[in-house]
Amino acid sequence: MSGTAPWIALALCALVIDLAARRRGGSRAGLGSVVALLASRLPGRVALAALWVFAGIHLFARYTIPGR
Amino acid sequence: MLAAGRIVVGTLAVGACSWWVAGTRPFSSSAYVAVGASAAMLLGAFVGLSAGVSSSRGAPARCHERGSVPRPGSVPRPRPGSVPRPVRVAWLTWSAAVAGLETAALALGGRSSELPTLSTALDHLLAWHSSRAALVAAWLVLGAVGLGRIARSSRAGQA
Repeated sequence: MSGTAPWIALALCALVIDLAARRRGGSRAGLGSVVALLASRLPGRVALAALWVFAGIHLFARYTIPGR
Repeated sequence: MLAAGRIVVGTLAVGACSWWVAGTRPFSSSAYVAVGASAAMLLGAFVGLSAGVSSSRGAPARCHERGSVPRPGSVPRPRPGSVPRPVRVAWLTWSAAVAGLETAALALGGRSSELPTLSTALDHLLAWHSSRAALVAAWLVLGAVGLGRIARSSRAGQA
């Protein structure tokens, strides 16, 4: 459990950054707007799509389920 | 009514697909087929939608260009200046922290109890069929929402 603490902390950090950014800059300053900015050009879209496909294959096709 | 129907059909499709993907054995050909087919269906729908839009419309017009007026209801493309600099710096720092932590975890072997990789930390959620299916559903919804947004912004840019 202690090993997962840094990941939980980073997830909480993301939540805090998103909320603070929205409070300061409105709805156009959250994580969604940063991702939209990345996706506004073709290389960014390809990178995001590749990251999404990699996550799916890594977690659901190439990852051993504990206990099986 | 049409939108509600789409939501119901989409929810049922995602539910069935995620349950199927979650039931496959890792490293088996069925697992690759299940994940690959799910991703290919979403990407295929997106490419088909984008191709249909670009072939049915003329040259793209950038609605954020000076002097152009975005059409009512269109989604404007984000400009680099539209996201405040401190916000960009904060997310860059956060991304660097994630990459650094993952690199350190990989250097420790990936399955260290002191610092596991992100996928090892998700082990607990992948142990049961239902929680695994929920993660697959979240992955599919994330992809569908992302691709849907890109398709909408492309349509708005080409309108």
